[in-house]
Amino acid sequence: MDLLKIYKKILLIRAVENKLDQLFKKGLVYGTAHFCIGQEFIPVVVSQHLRKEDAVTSTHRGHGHALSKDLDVKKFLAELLGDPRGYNTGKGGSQHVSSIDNNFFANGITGGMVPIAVGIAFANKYKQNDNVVVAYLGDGAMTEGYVLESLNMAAALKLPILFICENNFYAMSTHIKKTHSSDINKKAEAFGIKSALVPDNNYKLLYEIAEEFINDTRKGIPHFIEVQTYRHKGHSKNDQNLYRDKSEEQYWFNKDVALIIEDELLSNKYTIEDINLIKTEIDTFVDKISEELIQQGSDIDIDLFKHIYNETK
Amino acid sequence: MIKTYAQAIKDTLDEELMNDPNLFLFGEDIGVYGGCFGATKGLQEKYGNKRVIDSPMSEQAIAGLGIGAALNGLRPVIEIMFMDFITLIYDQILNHASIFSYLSNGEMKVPLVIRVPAGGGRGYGATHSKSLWSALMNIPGIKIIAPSNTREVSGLLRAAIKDNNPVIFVEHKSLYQIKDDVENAEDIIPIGKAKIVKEGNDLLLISFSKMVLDCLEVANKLENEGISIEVLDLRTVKPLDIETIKNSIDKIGKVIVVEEGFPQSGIAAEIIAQINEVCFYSLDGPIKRICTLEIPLPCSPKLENMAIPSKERIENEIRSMLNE
Repeated sequence: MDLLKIYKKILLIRAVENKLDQLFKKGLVYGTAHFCIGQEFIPVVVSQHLRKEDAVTSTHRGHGHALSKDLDVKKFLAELLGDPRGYNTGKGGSQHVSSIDNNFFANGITGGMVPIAVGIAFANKYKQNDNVVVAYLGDGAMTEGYVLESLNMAAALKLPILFICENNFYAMSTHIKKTHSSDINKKAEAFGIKSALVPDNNYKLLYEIAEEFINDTRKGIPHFIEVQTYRHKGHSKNDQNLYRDKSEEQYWFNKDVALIIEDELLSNKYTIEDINLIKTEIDTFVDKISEELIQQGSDIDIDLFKHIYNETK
Repeated sequence: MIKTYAQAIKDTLDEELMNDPNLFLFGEDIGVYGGCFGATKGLQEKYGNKRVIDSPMSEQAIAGLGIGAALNGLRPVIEIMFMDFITLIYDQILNHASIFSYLSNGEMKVPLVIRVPAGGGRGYGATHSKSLWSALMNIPGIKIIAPSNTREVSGLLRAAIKDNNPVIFVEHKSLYQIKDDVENAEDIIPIGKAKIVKEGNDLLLISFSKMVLDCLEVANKLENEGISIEVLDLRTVKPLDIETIKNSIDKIGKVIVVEEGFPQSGIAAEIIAQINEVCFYSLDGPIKRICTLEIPLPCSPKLENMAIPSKERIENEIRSMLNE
């Protein structure tokens, strides 16, 4: 496991989200966003086992999924800023960033991409390649009807898809105790899908299970991982987290994977100066691209009606 | 060559399965059973269960599978058993299939055909008889085709299959067994082009799907009395061919729109609104619409007949408009 690489990617995602948060507060960004700080290690770790041809489907909380699938940071940030130089020329925004070149698909409907992920996996099987699809979803999506239909469909058709449920315990403000009466990974198992639970932000366990499961998924067997994690910020930008207990928050802040990996690096060959240099480099990089985007601006004209229908032959 | 509407659909799917290895069929009971109305009968036997696939009863996941497979380079034709069930996949159409091309600036495409039978007249009752095209009409990014006859169903289906966008292909339950000679039928009929199926001078009937046949029957009957009715078949409901409609109205100022959906915010309502915008001053008077009455469709033949536009209702409305 390349710990430094994982650490840097987590910090990058965090820096992009913190920048976005700052820009919101300055009134420089329009709309909303759902921050993944605290749970961004999941796609970073899982992506260590993915190839470019593998597809990832994402959710409303998708910044980490996108950057883990190696989307270009500047083009990605541009999209979040509603800039025509963004991946979707500003039409998509935070919840709908997509890039066919990266095989990355996101949508803001809770669980809505999961049946589509099953379809992407179906096409891979049909074409007899060994690409996999990783479908991210949350604990909220696990109570949506079509997610349950999708689990059954993937199992019945034996499709090469790995479902990853990022269980951060709250569907917006509602705790899973009020919405689930059985374990999430057990639900997937009931459909005949091999499932695993990764508790407590255990990134090492996730790394191992993801490696095994992705290898087996390539052989055409669906898999499911529930990762118990926590988002540090609110559901979306204006959420004050009034429904969460402070001691619970502290418990999870102490389990922040960025901090844990930092400690590990420090106990290996890295010094605090090395760590500070990495942080500065990443922050400077994100500051630089956001300033470029904001200061240069863009006067690219977007034809509002173009591409409503796809006219390619 | 004489075929039924259902046979014409099956033969077209057969040819396209033969031509394009990336095309596959997916839906409930479309294999050995052949689909609820026999429109896929024998295709699984011929192409195997990897290309003609019986799905679980999971409409949303069926739609999602079609969308995902289309995004990943295949050309799926999925079947939803009754148009009443289109509501189950509404989110997948509205929030997913229809937006990928637009948001990706054409880098992504969803060449997906959703075959679905609509219409009443068969006593299937309130949940298996509806014509819900208007529920789909205001979704940007999709197309809706509703063939009215056996000669054209094949050319329109082929156009739908070759299109790179999500197409809702609305078949009609009462048309499946209608026979016609399909010799020299058009191989491919462009999407978005209406057709004048009978020319006339006194009054224009605008319709689509099975109601076109009823309009024609009434128009032919009135021809014997010297009443000259023009009948326009939309063929494609969305995008709407307002040009062809306008050309007819510029010639004939009296207009009735006939459709099998409900009246409020229906396709007829939309057509009337667009006519108002583009050729209001060519009209002789108010446009009339004839629709299914706004009630859950009753099962008994007598009650159902009263609810769905009948030939009698069409004839009466024509006479009343011409006598005004």
